[in-house]
Parts: sequence; structure tokens; C-alpha cells
Amino acid sequence: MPKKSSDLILDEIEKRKVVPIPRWRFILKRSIFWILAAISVITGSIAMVTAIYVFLDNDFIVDRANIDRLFAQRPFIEEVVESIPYVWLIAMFLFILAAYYGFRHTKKGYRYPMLRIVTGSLLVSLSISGVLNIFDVGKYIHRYLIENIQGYDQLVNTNEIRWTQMDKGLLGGKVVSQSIPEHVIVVRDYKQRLWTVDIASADMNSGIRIIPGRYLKITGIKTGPKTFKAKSIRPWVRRAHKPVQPVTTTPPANPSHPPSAVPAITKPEMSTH
Amino acid sequence: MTLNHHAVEPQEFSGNMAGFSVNQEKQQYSDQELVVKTLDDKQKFAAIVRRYESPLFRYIVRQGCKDTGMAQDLLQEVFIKAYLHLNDYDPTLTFSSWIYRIAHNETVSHFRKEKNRPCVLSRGEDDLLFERIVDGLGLEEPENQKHPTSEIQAAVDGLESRYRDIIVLKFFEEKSYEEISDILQMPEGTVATLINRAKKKIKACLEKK
Repeated sequence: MPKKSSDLILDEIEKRKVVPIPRWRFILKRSIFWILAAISVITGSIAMVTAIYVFLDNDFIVDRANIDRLFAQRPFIEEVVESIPYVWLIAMFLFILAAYYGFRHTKKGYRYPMLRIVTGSLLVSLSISGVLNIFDVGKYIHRYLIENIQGYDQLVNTNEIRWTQMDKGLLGGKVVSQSIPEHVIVVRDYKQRLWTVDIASADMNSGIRIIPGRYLKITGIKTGPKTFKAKSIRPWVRRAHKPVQPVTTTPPANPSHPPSAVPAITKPEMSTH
Repeated sequence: MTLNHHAVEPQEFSGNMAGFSVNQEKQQYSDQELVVKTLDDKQKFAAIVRRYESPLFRYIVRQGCKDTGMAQDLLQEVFIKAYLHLNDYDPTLTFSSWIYRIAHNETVSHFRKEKNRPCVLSRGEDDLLFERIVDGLGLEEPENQKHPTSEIQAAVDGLESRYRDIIVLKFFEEKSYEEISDILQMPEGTVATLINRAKKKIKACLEKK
């Protein structure tokens, strides 16, 4: 009498010494996908909060005078489009895809349509980025990258580049030291160059504190290879503020732009350090 | 090892094996209970094999495996894989969906290795099932203008594999949308969309003739 198929299968299981894979290995595998999804959503929110910071840290948004000037110089929409931090948006998109992949491989992840998972991940990322934004996480990440990672400044059209045009009277950076009696501060721009800035005749909003570690936007005149004379100083903040008082600066290096009372904010040529 | 299909008639399973009655197990325990028992006693897996070998064998054949010996080998691999992954079974799913998923993946992976997937559904015992497709299409045909089974078969065979898989599960295996979603691991909405598209394609094909 031929063997029954169940007997044959049990024999084969016996012969191959098959034993059920322990449950913990499946739990571990599922957990890895959950962790991947969670990490991706969190990193996606970090990308999002950085993108938001980079986009909003633009003078055309915080400064009404600059908005008017930009309208006069070139279409506003062009400026906005150029200011979108595409690299961060791409990073966010990739993290959302990774989150989708991770979630899709969880036990019941396949039951949810792609659109719902992606939208859900985006909403969660947005919520987390809202919280991160309260603590200025985007600012710290962006500043760390622009000061320490070579090539990052070429990936984003950032305000740091706009405020590193000393020839056009714009200097932005971090105060590294100060000498109150001499009315001199030392500012480090994002390319790590140190500038000695004379602030004796600078116009400042009352209450502004110039202390080491503070980031400033300074307009004025380049007086030497590493020296600068400040005409106006304001804190580097993202929130809206009053426009600075008009100051006289050196004419722009580009002759196509006529001299103006307020230094023109134009994007310089990208440098490669 | 190849199982001898002809020596195994699912209807004949009724004997005692390793000291327990399969029929008794069939009646006594649910799939979930059998899974739990199998984890303690390998011999209990026989009851699962007996419960599912017939439908899974038919399913493998309907997926395009025409070689009986090959279908038996695939069936054996399906059961061995199911046994190996028994701890991965989620009791919130039906066991049937879970083991059909293994069968589906095993067959598809076999055809992928072979780089050849035959697409001829069986005639004969499945003839009546082809008519279900016509019913499902909502074609109101006068008796004298009914499409012959061969035409319906040709239309189904002409479908891309993802549509054919879903048609087989829906009309031949009579699975619900939820079960198909669990077997093919896709959202129920996608299942519904694919079924509708498949129906349209079959209808278009039949109307051409």
C-alpha cells in the first residue's frame, strides 16, 4: 500500500531535519522593519524641519524692504523658487519612501494603500517637525552642515551665502570674540574666515546683545582683506523684524547693478572653497 | 523526493496515523488549534497536510503548473515551508490565507526560476468554474450565443499573470476580497481594482470574438 502524502511529507521533514524557526526571529525581523519605518519618519521630519528653516531663513520673507527690492530686481517667484531647499525635500522624499518600505513589510502593512501610508508618514513627519521647529533643530542642523561639511553650501541656496558678500557690504556670521573698549568684534563667516569688524559707528537696534556665540547680519564696508567697518548690525533671527536703517556702502562689484542706498542682496557665484 | 500523486487520493484519507485519527482531528480542532498542537508535536502536522493538500494541489495546478509530479514537489515544498515558518503564522489571519500565500509565493518563485510560466488553465473539472467568470462579468447572453468555455479559457489565459492570479483566486478558489488581499499581500482596494480591470479585459476579449 503506497504511503499517504502526509506521511511522505512528515518523512521528508524528518529527513531534512526541519524544525520550526523560533518565534523570536520573526519578532526580530518585524521589529527591524518597524524600526526602519520609525527611523525613516524621524529622519524625514528632521529633513523637513531643516528644509523649513532654510526656506524661511530668507530676507525676502522676513524683511519687507527686501521684498520690495527683490520685486524691483527680479521676479519674486524666481527668488522663491531658487530658495526652495530641494536637497532637503529630496532627502525627505527618500526617507518617506524608506518609511513606506519599512511599514509595508510589517505584519499587516500590505493591507494599507501606498497613498495612505505615504500621507500618514508625511503627517507624522510634519507633526514631529513642528515640535522640532520649536527647539530650532533645523537651524542647528543647517548651521552645523554649512560650517563643517564641504560642498553643502552648493546644494542649498541659503541666506549664509547672501550674507557672505563683503565686497557688496554684507557680512554674516558668528561672533567669536569682542573687545568693548575698542569697539571691535571678531566674526567668523560660514566659510570659517575670521573678520575683524569695527562697530564704533554701527547702527544697532536697542537691546541687541553682541556676545560671543551670537549670529549677526552686518552691513557696512570692507576695509581690508580681513577687516570690515559696520554700518548696521542686527541679530540673525528668522522672525520678522523692522528693516534696517539705510546705510551707504561701497558700490556693488557688478556694474550692471546701480548703486543703491541699501546694499543689494544678490546671490554670489558659488565658490568651491 | 517526489510524491506520487496517483497514489494519493485526498478523499481516501481516513486512516489512523501515528496514533491519532485524522478525521477526528479534522472535526475536533480548528486550524489555529492544530498549529499550536503541531508546535508541540510534529505528528499533528499530518492533519494540516490532509486538510489542505487537495485545495493547494488544485491551486498550484491552476497557477499554471501542469506537470503533476512538479505540482506534487511544489506542494511538498509548500508544506515544508509552512512547517518551517509555523511560528510566523499570525492567528488574526485565517490559516487558509496564510498557507495559500506560501503556495502562491512558492509557485511564482518556481516559475521565475524556470523563466517560464505556462498559462493554460485546466479544462474538464474547471469547466463549470469558467462559467462563474461569465456570471461575474454580468454578461447577459442568450442561450444560443453563449461563449464556449474554450473562448473564456483563452481570454483568461491571455491575461497578464497578476490579473490571472487574482481571477483564479476569486472565481476558481472562491476567495473573498479580504482573503485575496492576505494571500497576495496587497490592499483590498487594489484587489477590487485588479478584479475589475481583469473583468474588463476578459469582456473585451470575449466581445471581439
